[in-house]
Amino acid sequence: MTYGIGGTCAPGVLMGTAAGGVTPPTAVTLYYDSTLYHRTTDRIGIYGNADPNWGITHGVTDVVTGTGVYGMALNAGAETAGNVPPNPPWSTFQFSMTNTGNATIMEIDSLDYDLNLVSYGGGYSDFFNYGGYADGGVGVGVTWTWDVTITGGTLTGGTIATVTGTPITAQDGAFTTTGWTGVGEYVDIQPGRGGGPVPGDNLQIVVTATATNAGGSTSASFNHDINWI
Amino acid sequence: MGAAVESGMNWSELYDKRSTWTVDIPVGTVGTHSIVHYNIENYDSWTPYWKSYHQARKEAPHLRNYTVLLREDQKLSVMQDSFTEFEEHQWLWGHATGDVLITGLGLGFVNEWLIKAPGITSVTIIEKHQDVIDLVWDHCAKDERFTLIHDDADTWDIPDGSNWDCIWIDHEISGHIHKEELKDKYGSHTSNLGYYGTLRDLENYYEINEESGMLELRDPNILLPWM
Repeated sequence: MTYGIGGTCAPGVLMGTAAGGVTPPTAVTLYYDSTLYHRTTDRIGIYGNADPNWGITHGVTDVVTGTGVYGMALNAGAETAGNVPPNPPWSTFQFSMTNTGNATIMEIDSLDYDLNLVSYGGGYSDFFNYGGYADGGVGVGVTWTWDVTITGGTLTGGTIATVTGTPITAQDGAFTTTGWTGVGEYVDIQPGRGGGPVPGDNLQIVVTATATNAGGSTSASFNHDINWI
Repeated sequence: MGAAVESGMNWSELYDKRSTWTVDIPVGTVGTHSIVHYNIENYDSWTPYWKSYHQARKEAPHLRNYTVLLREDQKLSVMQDSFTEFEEHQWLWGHATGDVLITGLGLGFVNEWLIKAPGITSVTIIEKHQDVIDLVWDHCAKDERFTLIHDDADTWDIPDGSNWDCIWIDHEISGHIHKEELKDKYGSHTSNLGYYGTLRDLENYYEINEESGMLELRDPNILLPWM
């Protein structure tokens, strides 16, 4: 039974084989889906869509296909090759989208967002859904949890961003497996009575998958940073 | 009070020390508008939006009662006497002086400061909805310096020659174009025009001195640190 080298570990950190001889789950790596698609570690898909529950058309269409009604972001493939630019944005809201090692960074056209989404008023939402597959986490008696957390940011105009939905408890939360709800929890952005986000507003979101058994826990995280410019 | 919040969020007693004005408006419904009182004991009666709102803004319904103005055709609450509202009015706290024009009565939230603020000579409030007036005006803070006009701030004919030392746009802004229209309409009647919800890059930020009830500068200027 080893709890660290040369002394104690911080609470919650478990090294080696724990009591009862159960080995903690192996390392976890996040992918877009269970084919380990795009094979760049710890990045998952993002599907942004204007609230479909309100029965009105708002948001913008995909600039490539001219179809759909999207919120500010779509990064379904989560590919480095899908960066904007050089690729055209998935929605006109996007000035840029950069897929890096374990993150996606989006720059949003505040004025376009305002004209095509915020101006509908009444608290209509823009949703961010996350879809991914947690590879690894191998061990005896492993259970899975996903978590979407807003870790920081500033939103003006009375805008609020909340995490809603119910996280799945499976290893596979890819869009291709679970549908548009992905990992279950999603972010809901609602403009307030003072309008929506303005240039300089920002939001940071972290999506984490955790494998747990009697020996301990192992997790991996994906960061989604949004900057209105 | 004191029960755990159903959402599971870990609340801190620190939030109880954040500044806000509270209002004393009784529960009621007139037409399409309602005044409700929310606290953790009636959580099940909250609107879905307010269940999200209190989470996102880390409000403290287990510690205090909130007065909330609702409109039946609107998902958002119109206004609440929350810590967040206090933050979203920071511009006004620093600029209210002399003759003040307010667009939107809401809960009469800003009256709580304007009635005691030094140097306020008059307060004119424009409110579009008679329902809101009927629910709030008799119960909100005011004195002989306060005047209410029942009209739509978007279309109100501003009397010729009118000028104010401060104008605060506090009714619903539907987006950038609307905001520009309001700037054009009211900007020529003051050198001090501010908008609800402006949080960043202000000259100063304020909190309420617990003993005097007056505003004083806040240092450091931390904006919504929980967001």
